[in-house]
Amino acid sequence: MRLTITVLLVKLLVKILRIFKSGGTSLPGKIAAKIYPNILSVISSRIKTVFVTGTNGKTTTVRMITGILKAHDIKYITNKSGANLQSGITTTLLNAMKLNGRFDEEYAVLEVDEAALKTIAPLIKPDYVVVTNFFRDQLDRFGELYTLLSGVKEGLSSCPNTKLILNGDDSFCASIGKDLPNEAYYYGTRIAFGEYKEGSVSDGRFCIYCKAEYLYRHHTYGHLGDFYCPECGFSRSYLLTALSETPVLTDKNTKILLSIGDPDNKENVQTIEGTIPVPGQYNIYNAMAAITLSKVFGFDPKKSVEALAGFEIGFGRMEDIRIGNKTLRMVLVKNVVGFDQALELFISQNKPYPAAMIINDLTADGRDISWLWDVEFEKLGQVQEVVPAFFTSGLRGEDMTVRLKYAGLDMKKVRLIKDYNLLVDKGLAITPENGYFYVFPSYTALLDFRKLLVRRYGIKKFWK
Amino acid sequence: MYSLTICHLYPDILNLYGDRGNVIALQKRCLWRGIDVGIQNISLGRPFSAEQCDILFIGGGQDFEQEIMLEDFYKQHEEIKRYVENDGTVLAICGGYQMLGKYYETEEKLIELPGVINIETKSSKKRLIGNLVFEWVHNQTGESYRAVGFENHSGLTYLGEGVDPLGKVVKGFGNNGEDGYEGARYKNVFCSYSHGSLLPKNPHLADYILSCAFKKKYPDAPELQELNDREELEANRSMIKRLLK
Repeated sequence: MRLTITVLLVKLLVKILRIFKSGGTSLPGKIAAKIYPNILSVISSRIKTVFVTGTNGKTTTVRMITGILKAHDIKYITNKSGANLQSGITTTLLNAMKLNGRFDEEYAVLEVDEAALKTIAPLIKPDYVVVTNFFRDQLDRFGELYTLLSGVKEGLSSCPNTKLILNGDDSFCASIGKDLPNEAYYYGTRIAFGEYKEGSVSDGRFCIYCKAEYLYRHHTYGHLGDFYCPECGFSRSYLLTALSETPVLTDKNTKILLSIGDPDNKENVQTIEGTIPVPGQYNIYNAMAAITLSKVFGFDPKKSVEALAGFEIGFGRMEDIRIGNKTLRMVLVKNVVGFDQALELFISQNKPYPAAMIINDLTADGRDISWLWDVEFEKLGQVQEVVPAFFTSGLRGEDMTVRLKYAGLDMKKVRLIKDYNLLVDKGLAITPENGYFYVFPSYTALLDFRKLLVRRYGIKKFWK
Repeated sequence: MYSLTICHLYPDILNLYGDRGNVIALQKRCLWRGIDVGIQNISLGRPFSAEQCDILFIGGGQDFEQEIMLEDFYKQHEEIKRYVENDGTVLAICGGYQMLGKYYETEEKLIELPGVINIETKSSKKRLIGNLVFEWVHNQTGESYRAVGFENHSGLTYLGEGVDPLGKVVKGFGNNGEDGYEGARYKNVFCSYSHGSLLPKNPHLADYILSCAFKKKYPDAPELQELNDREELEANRSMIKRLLK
């Protein structure tokens, strides 16, 4: 009875909050937890749960997983709008639950904040957890990477039956599989891609067990690659899914060749060609995470890879908005590796497209913006002859301008425009016909900027 | 032609909060004035030489990685001490600042440090995190400036005899959240808890540090020329306005 009332209340609150144009993703969950403190434990056993956590790629990976489920005609719930803390997850689950306390859906695919996993995992005891990667991010909120990683391990230690899907190219993720008794499946690369630069390993350079410096058979980006410790021998495990040939990256998509193993028979390997319909090196890992999970579900990997082709990109991670015959392309930036990868994409275009960097410093962005000094804006120098303007904006637009000045850009091309309306006007005005206007917003800047685009151009609201 | 060498100590380990922005700022502000700059990265196992350094920069790192480096630091500390006593210019931020002290005390252990300067640090349960504004005085001109940065530390630092604070806290915690002081000054050593990075949007402080190094190497050279700091000062002012309103 208490459950029915709570479900009813949450559904009602969500409806009301949406009328008032607020996303309504966290408050109902908070109230539900007040009325019924162990509600998450009670309801989560009634549906198969998948957590996706890690620093980068959570939202995109969730989208890819749900795309695969959709292709198999399997019903699912997901916390679409990045409501990835306990309250948001509670809201998502309760709002989907029927009044009889059952779910129509088979799976709940949930993005879970990597710092919140510690408390959420013991409550829900998920059936599957996907861990994408660990990069330094929002140190003001998370503290050190090592503390964050211990928290994830601690959270998972109360879920010994959970199956883990881990990025084998990331030594932090691989250590989760080593330290916990859970069944673990890995994905990774058998070949390098991207341009690895000497000295770019800033996180996890040293073995987490014996502190010796890792060596690599090959690198992809950041600290990702085929690592091994020369002292204690720690290295990645058998890869269930592996990238086996150099991917073909264009500005529209990425072609990959995967070899997919079989947990029960390592000899039984399938080689499958696929296309990820979005650009960006990091999406190769996201796609492999989703494919690996689907293999663990028992799906035919060929069908899963095909399903990726119809994948719809997540809210703002990268989103193209057509305005007349021009396209505004938004790429969320929230940490060094993500921003570097976004710049890489922009530079690889080498076209006369303007770019805007909108940096806020609210809690959800990370209040400390020091990390901007670790992003390689210097490499924008390669394209500044062709790029008509670099706009800066946001609460920390001034800091962004200073960063670009010290990156050696021509200051005649750098313009601070705080007003988003004006920024859109100026940016589109100098975007060539059929060209792109690249916008790189931090998290809360993305929310505000998108709100403005909704108002001006009527694109769909994010919680739909 | 004038030239300065910036030595960056353990840049691959002490690189947590974008502190390399300080090195970039020092480098660019030299280059814009026609002063040549060499940057020497001093990693584990590479000796620091006082004679080949005009500015020594030390940033902060994660505890796990800082432990790896301490052993090496013990081997370097006598040379660093000699450099400091001989009026060498140093900028040390956060973990790098703490490392220069006599010890770092946690609940479990006391980590003895070389004591390059007379300060000591104790860990606290509460992390001091947030934007930081402090007022500092240029010793040569007597003018005071407001610097802005971001602090994130659990160590509380106390200054011993012979060491002055870098400035007074206007907003935030500073060294320990108790005595109202931020950072440390000893001879030509500048220490601060401010990330941000600190120097890019506090150009007067950047130039003060540069001029210490420049005058030591070229005592007869003219003063550093003025630069157009419009963007830097705008970033400084806009933050201070937001924080102090």
